[in-house]
Amino acid sequence: MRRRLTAAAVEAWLPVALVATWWFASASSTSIYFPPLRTILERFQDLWLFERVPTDVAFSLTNLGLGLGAGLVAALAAGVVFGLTPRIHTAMTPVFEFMRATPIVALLPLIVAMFGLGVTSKVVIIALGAFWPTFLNTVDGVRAVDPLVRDVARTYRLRPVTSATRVMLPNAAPQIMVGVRTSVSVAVVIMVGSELFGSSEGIGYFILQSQRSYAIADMWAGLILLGLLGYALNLLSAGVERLVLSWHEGRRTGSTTVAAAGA
Amino acid sequence: MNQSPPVSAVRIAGLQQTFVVDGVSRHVLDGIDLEIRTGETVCVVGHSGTGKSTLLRCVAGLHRPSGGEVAVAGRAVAGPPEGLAVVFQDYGRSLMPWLRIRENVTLPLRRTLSRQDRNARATEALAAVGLEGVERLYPWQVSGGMQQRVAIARALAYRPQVLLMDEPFASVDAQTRSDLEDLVVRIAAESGLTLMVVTHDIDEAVYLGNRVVVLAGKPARIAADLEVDLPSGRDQLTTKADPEFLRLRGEVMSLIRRETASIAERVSA
Repeated sequence: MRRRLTAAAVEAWLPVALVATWWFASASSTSIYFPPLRTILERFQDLWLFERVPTDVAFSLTNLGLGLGAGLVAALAAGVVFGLTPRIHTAMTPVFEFMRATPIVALLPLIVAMFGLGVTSKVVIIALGAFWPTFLNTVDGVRAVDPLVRDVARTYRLRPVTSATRVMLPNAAPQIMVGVRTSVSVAVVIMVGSELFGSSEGIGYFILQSQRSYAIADMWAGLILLGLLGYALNLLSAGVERLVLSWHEGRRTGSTTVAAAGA
Repeated sequence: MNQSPPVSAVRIAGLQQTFVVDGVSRHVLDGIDLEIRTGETVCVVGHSGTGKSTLLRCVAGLHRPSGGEVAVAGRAVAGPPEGLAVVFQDYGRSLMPWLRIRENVTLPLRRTLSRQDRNARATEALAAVGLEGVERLYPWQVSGGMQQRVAIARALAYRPQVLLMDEPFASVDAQTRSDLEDLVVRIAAESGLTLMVVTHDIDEAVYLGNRVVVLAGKPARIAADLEVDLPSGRDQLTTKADPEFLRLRGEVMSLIRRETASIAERVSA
């Protein structure tokens, strides 16, 4: 208990110090761009606790959830297929590299032209952005599956679906999770980006709107909300990772090895 | 002997295997003919690198032979055949570390059985290899010998007609090894399984087999195919002191030596 408190204190002192510094340094600020933190937090309370949660926050998070979900599922499925067919993969690599290197936000005008200004185009662009990091890591992870593990799957004539979900994906899971964490942060960036362009709802839209109407404290409150959301999402994906990779961690540290005499 | 001839579980005829690696072709197996009758335990012995594992992989449908034919239970092998299981040497890699021991054993049964039946099969197979109460553990939480037992249980739960073992005990300590040898002898006797065991250990081959097939040469051919005329109830102490055991062991050893010497001559010539 005591050790946990110490750990929490070690982790918390810098953020606390930074907030305190911000608080006192900005207390008597008259700058239009840097209003006092006190004002920002008051606005934060008014806006996000919880007046605009059902509208802007729900809108953004729904898009994020749908886009991220679709992108990740597609990435895992396509990743296994391409990972298991090296010839197709080799042929496609330049295309993948090109697609990945293209900033997804630049596709927004096209996506909007295709799907309109509604929810669809936002979900699609988030899914596109979330797809690549997970897809590329899944391909690499599946390609690196131990040949012996493949032999086991083949000799026992596992069904393709069983082989994918019970053998290939778990085997590649440590690497896939690296991709998933990147996908999550990319998705948040694109979510905000998609709301800055031709939108009438969402946290990104709210921030842009506040800036345009010189409600700078509101804008800052929106930024703080985004930071907190990003932080929470990161905690969430770290939790998922711990859950998915518990076997990996256990095997690596060997802490749970049961001492067994002989065979 | 006026009955119909015994069904051969494995039939290998004129098997050729050549690998081409970086433009250099390597002829590994040259005209292997071998028939394994149902219920027999055949041990294939030879130096490491002779092509024993290649032979096993051809039977398992993991390699496509360059020539000749392989049939398991009367059907030509064109990929991993039905009713065939393999126990690999490297238990650490052949078991899935993300699956608990029970899920490892039931993995191959997902195609055919309900969850309840799968679990019952797993418990039974684990008991048959002397493992109880480990279902919920992960493979890496138990010793190497126990892991290889899990791999054997996985093969047994699959209820194959033919079980192939590729150097199954090469990575465990000596005591565990003789325990596992006795386990295999017992399973072979009780289940009526057809077994093909690849090993470089001559004692092990003679101890386990009804027949010992000596693979030697480059490319490898069958140098000898010996019936093992030992009582079926084998015992680490008495069987290994039996004059017949010692005679066979000596014969296999001299065959392998002779082949090695003649290769050495050819190389130096």
